[in-house]
Amino acid sequence: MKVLLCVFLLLGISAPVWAAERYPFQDQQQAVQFDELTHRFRCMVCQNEDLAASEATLATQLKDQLYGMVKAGKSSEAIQTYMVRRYGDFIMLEPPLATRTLLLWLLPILFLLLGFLILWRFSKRSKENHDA
Amino acid sequence: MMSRVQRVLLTMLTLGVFFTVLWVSLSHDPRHFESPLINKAAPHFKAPSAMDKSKQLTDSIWKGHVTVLNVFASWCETCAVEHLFWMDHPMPKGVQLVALDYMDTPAHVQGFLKDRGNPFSDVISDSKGTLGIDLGVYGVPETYLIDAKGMIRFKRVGAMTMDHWKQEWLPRINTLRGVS
Repeated sequence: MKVLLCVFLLLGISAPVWAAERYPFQDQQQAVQFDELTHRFRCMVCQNEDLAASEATLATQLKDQLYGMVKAGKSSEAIQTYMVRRYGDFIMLEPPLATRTLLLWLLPILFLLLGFLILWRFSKRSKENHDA
Repeated sequence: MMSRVQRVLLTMLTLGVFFTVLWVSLSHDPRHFESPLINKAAPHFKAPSAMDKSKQLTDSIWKGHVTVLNVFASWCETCAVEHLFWMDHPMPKGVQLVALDYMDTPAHVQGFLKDRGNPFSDVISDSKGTLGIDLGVYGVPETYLIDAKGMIRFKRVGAMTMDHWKQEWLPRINTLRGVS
């Protein structure tokens, strides 16, 4: 039982090692850039996962592509433009803050404010009722 | 202060707005969204034909014709089912049906088409999926509508169906062909 547990633990923590083997970097900065990028983009197949976590074929294919571009010295910005041009904003796990996504960012805040406003009016009204 | 009537109306208005927003947003399938390539030029490429490896294909393949580009693979089950649709529904006159064999090998796709019939005027071999990435492919089968100037006009992610073909594709194809 304990042996089994140890085996599982070892397998779990060794996963990043396997990733590093598939995508080796001489330059540590490039390794960091690559890691950040694989966490920035959504896996289009398993859409709640980032590319880093996803095992889908498309994710592997895109990671291969990212690897090539990072090794070629492309900037993260250029790589992001490349991805968004082909897959759209949806490939970003965090939607960009832009005029077209303004409503997306603002609506939750607006609804929250509306909720507070309603609560405030309720508490005012119940105070008035008590005073009256 | 507001009258009771005014309060009720305001509440109903707020709820109405809230539920309308919810209704509209929830009716969108978040897994499928509009391709950013609509009304942009289809990507440049150079790849061999999957049917004849000595034949090199490039993006000139879609200049001068309206093209329906079907992205599929021999390993994709849904594509095998969709293939019946392409076999049963020949293209309107002047429209070419071209295939992109995505992350596959010519040997496999040749076997696939030999067994099931070949409705395609040509099959582009994309064994590494690079043209697929340039097209933003993420869920085969996918189909693209490309006009005679090489501009992407429409896209479907998922198998083509009769309803979809009739309602969404034929009207657009006919517009591009210049017929009504």
